[in-house]
Amino acid sequence: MILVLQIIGIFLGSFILIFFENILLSLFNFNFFIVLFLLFSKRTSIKLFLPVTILISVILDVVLHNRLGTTLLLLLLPSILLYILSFFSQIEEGLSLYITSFLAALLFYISKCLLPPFLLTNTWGYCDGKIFVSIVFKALITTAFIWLGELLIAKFRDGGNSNQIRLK
Amino acid sequence: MKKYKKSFTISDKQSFFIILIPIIILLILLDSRNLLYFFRNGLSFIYEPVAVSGSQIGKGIKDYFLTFSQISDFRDEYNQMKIDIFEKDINNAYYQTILEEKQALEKQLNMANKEAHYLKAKVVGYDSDSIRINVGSEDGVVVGDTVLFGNMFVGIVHEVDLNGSLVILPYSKNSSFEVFISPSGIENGVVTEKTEVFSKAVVKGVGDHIDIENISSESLARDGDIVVSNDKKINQYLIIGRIANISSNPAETSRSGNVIPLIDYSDLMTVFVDIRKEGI
Repeated sequence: MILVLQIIGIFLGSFILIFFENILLSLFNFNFFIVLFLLFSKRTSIKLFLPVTILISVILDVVLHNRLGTTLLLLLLPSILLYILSFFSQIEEGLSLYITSFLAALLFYISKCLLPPFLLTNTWGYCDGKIFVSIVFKALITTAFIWLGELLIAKFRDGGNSNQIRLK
Repeated sequence: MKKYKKSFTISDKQSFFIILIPIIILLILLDSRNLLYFFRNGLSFIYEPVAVSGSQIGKGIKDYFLTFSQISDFRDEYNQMKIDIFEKDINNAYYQTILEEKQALEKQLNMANKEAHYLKAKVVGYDSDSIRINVGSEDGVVVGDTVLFGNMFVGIVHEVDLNGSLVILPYSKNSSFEVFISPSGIENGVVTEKTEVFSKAVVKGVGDHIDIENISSESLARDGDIVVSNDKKINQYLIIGRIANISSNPAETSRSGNVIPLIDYSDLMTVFVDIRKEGI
């Protein structure tokens, strides 16, 4: 029963996510999916996270007319970066969380600028100084969203604990 | 503690990469061979309407904000366009004036007495029985000069200032002169030498119309005949207009009627002043 509800929830959630993703892409060329990916990658079970990520990525590739697997590849690169950085410092909290999130988002947007045209036409995408400035700005916004998301999650978690009776 | 177990560990991340990388390679390879078109079509059928709706809404919001952010540019552009339109209107009006003047000059050259000296004048004001023109004593205009347009009589200069003059139209109660009535001898508005005179008469302005009196009861004059000036004050054969409403009472010793001018004086822009009077 829980599995069925989960599937229905994912199905409905994918519609909402695709809708808002397209609005934000049309408005600011901003990907909200990377925010969700970075927020939930360290909080969700891989058994749920991996299929949902694959499903949403493939749907995004279809509706954005990219080669299938493009969004997954774009998400893989920041994940590898975070994985490598995790050997050098604690990346799951504090200032380092936001620095690494910023770097991951930056890598995501740079690769988004260069990779999809390459996968479609074997020609690297175009990226000049102006585009790079906008990429940095979008990475900063992504980091801000992650900060907001962390605050919200912390608030919900605290709210949940406050209702619980503690037994010592 | 239970929650902590669910979150990613290093091994989870490794398995994440191990699963993801082959899937990515497989997807890219199969899609580049177009082997997943049925899968794409299915997903496209389900999600494309939502995506298109989202894109359209996003684009609409973006257009709205772009318009809002560029409102100062639009205002500048609007003001510039207003200036351009004004400039074009001014140019157009100027060209219209030149065109009208050209046509008036052509008419004057073709139809007027070639021996007379004409002074071009612009009409700067119009009343029901007079017009004001922009030439005066400085240009050689004197009281009594005849004002004409082609071969059409316009009026007689009544007052002269340095740079302007008042011209009395035939409508004026001060306007009275002798004319003759001719049914023929007018070709294209030009009085020819073969003019046949039906009758002599007197034209008087009444204010809102022009009367013609003292038409011989024996004459063959009828409505539509041409009324031509024949007075020392005018000194030229100029067409006043056409007869209308001519009386036909056999008991009268003379007949009378109205004269309808061939030109509308209120539409005149350029007229000519005969500054050298010649005898008829």
